[in-house]
Amino acid sequence: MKKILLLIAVVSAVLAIVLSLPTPKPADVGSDNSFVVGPVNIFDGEKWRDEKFVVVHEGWITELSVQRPDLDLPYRETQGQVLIPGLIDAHVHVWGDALAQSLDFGVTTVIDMFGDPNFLQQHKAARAETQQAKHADIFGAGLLVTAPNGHGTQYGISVPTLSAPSAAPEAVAERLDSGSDFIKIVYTHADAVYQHAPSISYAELEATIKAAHQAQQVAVVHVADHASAVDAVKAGADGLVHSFFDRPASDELVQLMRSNGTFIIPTMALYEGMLRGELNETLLTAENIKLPASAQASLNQSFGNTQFPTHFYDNLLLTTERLYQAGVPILAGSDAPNPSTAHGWSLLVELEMLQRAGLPLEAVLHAATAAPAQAFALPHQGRIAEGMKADLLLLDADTTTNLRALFHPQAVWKNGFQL
Amino acid sequence: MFNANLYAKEAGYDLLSLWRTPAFFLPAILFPVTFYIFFGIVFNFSSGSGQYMLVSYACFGMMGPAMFNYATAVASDRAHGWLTLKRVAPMPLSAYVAAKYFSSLVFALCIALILFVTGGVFAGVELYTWQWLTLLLVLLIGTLPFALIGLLLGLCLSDKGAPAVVNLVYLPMAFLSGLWVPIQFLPETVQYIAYGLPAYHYAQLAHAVIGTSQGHSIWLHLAALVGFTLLLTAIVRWRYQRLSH
Repeated sequence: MKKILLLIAVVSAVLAIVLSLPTPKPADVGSDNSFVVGPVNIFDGEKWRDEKFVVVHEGWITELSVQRPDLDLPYRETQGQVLIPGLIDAHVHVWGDALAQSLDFGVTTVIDMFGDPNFLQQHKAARAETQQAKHADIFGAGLLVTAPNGHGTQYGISVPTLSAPSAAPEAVAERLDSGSDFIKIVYTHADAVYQHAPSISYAELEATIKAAHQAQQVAVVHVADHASAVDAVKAGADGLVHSFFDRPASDELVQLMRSNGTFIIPTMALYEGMLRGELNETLLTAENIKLPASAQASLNQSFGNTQFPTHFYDNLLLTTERLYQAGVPILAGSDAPNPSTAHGWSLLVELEMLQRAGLPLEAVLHAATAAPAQAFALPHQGRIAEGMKADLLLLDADTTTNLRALFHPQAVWKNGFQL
Repeated sequence: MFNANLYAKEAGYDLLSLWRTPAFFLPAILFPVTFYIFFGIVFNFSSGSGQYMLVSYACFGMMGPAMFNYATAVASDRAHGWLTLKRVAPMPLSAYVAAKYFSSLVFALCIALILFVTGGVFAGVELYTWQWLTLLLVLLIGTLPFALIGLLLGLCLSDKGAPAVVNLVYLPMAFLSGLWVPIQFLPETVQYIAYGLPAYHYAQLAHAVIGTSQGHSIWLHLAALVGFTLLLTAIVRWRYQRLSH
C-alpha cells in the first residue's frame, strides 16, 4: 500500500512538473488584430496614396480611406507618420530562428533561395493565415537545380543533381512535389573567368527553364558574372538572383532584360561585404544599433582575404543603375546569412546600397515591397491594399525624404498584431 | 513462472543502491544539464531555435545514462563476482536486467525533467502540453537500445575499461547523429553514417514531435530502432551464453 502511494505521488509530481512547463500562448481571436490606423502618409508599395487611414480586420486590410471611417474598431491615432508594407527580403537562406530575426527588422516576408524543403513545408500554412506570429512568412525554392558537385551541393543538404537536358522536366516536377514555390537554377558560363564549381550546360539551363514555364512556375537563375547573366537571360530566365561585378552590364544585356522583362536581385550588400567590407560598420555606428551576438558573428565572418580591384565595386553600382534606368525590375535581397550579412539587418543595408546606385526613394521602397510580391506572385504580401495581410511598418514622418528611418521603425505589425 | 513481487523488489533495491552512491548519479545527471546550458543556450552558435536545441540535447542527455548505468554496473558486478552470485541465486536473471533498466529510466526521467525546466525557464522554450508529454515518453522509451548497448559493453569489458569505452561510443555517436550541431550543417558523408546510428533515429523521432525532423517517415525511424533493439538483444544473449561456459 505504501509503495502504491509512493508511486502515485511520484507520477503526479512528474505530471505536475510537465503540466506547468511553458506552452505557447493561444492565438488571439478577433479583436486584437482589428483596428483603424491614421492619419498616416501611405506608401502602398507602388506609390504614395491620397488616403490617410487604413482599416484592418482580423489581420487583413479591408479598406483605405481619406476620412477616418466611422467604425466600431480600436483606433490607433498617429500624427502623420509614414506607413509602408512590411518589407520583403527577396534572397535569403533560412533555418532555425531566422524568420524571427528577420521580423525584428521589419522584414515580414522572406523569399528563400535554397533550403530544406521540410522547413518550407512546415511554414507554408502560416502564409495565408493571420494568426499571431513571431516570424516572417516564407516563400521558397526548396532544393535548387545544379550540376553534380556544382554550387549548392557543398552545404550538407543533399541535392539531386542534373546531368542531361532530358532530365529537366523530372527535376522540376520533383521540386514542385516537395513544395517549391518556384525553381532556382545555378548556372555558370563555361568560360567564366573566376574559379567556380562545375555547372550545368546551357542546354540543361534552357531545358530547366522551359520545364518550369510549362509547369506555370517562375524560374530564377543564380549567376555571378556577366557572361553567365547573358546566357541566363537568353535562356528565358524570369529573374537573376545576383548581380555581378566583373564588368558593368553591357547594352546588349540591358536591352535583353528590358525586352524579356527579366528582374534582378542585385544582392549588393553581400558583394559590398566581399569587395569593401565597410558599410555594416558605418551604418551600425551611424544609426547606433547593437545587433544580437549571433547576427554580429555572422557580419564579422568574411569571404577570405582576396583583394579585388576597386573598380569592381563601381561596376556593381553602375550595373544596378543602368538596369534601373532601362526599367528592369530591381528587387531587394540580402543573401543572408552568408558571410558579412545577417537576417533582417542586411536587407536594410541592401536598401542603402540601392540608394547609392541612384535609385530614388520610392523605387527603393518598391524594391523591398510590391516588386518582389509581383515578381514571385505573392498573394497577400508586399502591398497596402484591400485583401492584403496587415504586415505594416510605421515610420518617422521624414521617411518621405530619408530612408534611414527604416532602421528605427516606430511600430511593426505582423498579421495585424503589433509586435 | 513470473513473480512480480520479485521484480519489484530487485528494482527497488537497485534504485536504493544507486541512491547510496551519489558520487555516481549526481555527475551523471548534471553532465547533460551542464552541457545543454553551455552549448544549447549560452554558446548556441548554430542558430538552432530554442526548441530544436532542447530536443537535441535531451536526446543526448538521456541516451548517455542509459548506456553508462548498464555498462559500469554490469562490468563492476562481473568483476566483483556479484553477477555470478545473482546467476546461481533462484531469482531469474531477467529481474536483474529489468531492475537495471528501471533505474536507468528513473535516471533518464530526472534528467528530462531538469532539462525541460531549464529549457522552459532559460531558453524560452514553449511547447504544447501534448508535445511535452509525448516528447517525454518518446525520450524514455527510446533509451532501450542504448541501455542494451550499455549492457553489451558491460558484459564484454572490465570494470575499469567500461566507462572509457562507453565515452568512445557515446560522444562520437551523439555528434554524428546531429545532437550537438544540427545535422543539416554537417557534411553529406555524416548524413550517411547517421542513417546507421540508433541515436540518429532516436533524435529524429523526438524531433518529429515538435515538427523539426528531417521529414523521413516516423515508421522508418521506429523500424530502425526496433531493428537495433532486436539485433542487440540477440548479441547480448549470445555474449551471455558465452560467458556461461
